[in-house]
Amino acid sequence: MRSADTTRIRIGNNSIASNGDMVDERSLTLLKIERRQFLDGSLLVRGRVDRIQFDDAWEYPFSVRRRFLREMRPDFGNIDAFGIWRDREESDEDLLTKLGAQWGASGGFD
Amino acid sequence: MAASTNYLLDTGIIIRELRGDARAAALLNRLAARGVLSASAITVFEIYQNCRSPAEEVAINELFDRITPRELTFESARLAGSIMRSHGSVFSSERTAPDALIAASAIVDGAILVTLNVRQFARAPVPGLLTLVIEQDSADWTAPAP
Repeated sequence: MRSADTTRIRIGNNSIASNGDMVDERSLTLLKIERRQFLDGSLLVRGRVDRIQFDDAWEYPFSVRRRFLREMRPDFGNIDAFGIWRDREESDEDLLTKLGAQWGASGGFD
Repeated sequence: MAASTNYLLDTGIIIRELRGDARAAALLNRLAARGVLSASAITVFEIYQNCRSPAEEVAINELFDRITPRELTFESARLAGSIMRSHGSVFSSERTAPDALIAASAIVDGAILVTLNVRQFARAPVPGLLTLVIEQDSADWTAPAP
C-alpha cells in the first residue's frame, strides 16, 4: 500500500515509492497528476507493467490508453501481424485443425 | 463509468487476422471501438506455438499488445471440466478441451465469446456463455456485432 503523499513511483527491480513502500514491479499506481503523462506516453516506466490502477480500478495499460485516447485505437488491418500468415499453405480449417491437434497428440506422458 | 463490453476472441478469429482476412480486421476494429478485446491464454499458446520465426513473434507481440490476454484461472479450468462433462456430445474429445477452456474463461470473465466455431458454440448452448458466432462465409463479419 502506498500513502496519500506518495509523489513518485519507479518500476523495476527493487523499485520503491517515495514513501519507502516496496512496489510490485508489474503493477503501477498513477496519481492524477501523472495520468495525462501516462496517456500521452511521456511517463517513462522501467520494466513491464501488467496492470495499472486508474480511477480506483485495476486495468491493463493498453485498455486505459485505448479508452481515453480514440486516436490510439489500432487499425487491425494496418499492423505488422495482419497477413503475416498469408503465405501459409494450409487452409484455414487445416491450420485450425493443426493447432487443435496439438492438444490431442500423444506426447508419451501418462 | 460503466464497464465496457469484454470480447473474448476465439483462436479462429486471430488466425484470420494473421491470414490477412480483411473481414477479421474490420471485425476487430468494430469490436475495439465498442469494448475491450481479449484472448485466452489458450489462444495465446496456440498462436505462439505456430510462430515460424522471431520476426513473426515480434509482429504477434504487437498484436497481443492490442488484445488483452486473459489468464487461465483455477475457476475457469474447473468450469471447463464441468462443461466437457455436461456437453459430452459436443465437447467429446481431448481436442475440444481448448474450446471448453476458452468458453469457461469467457463465462468467468463475463465476456462475449467471438467465434467462428459454429460446431461447438451454436449447436449446444452452454449456460452462462454469451457468444457472437460469426458466419465465416459471410462477406461482412461486422454486421451482427452487438
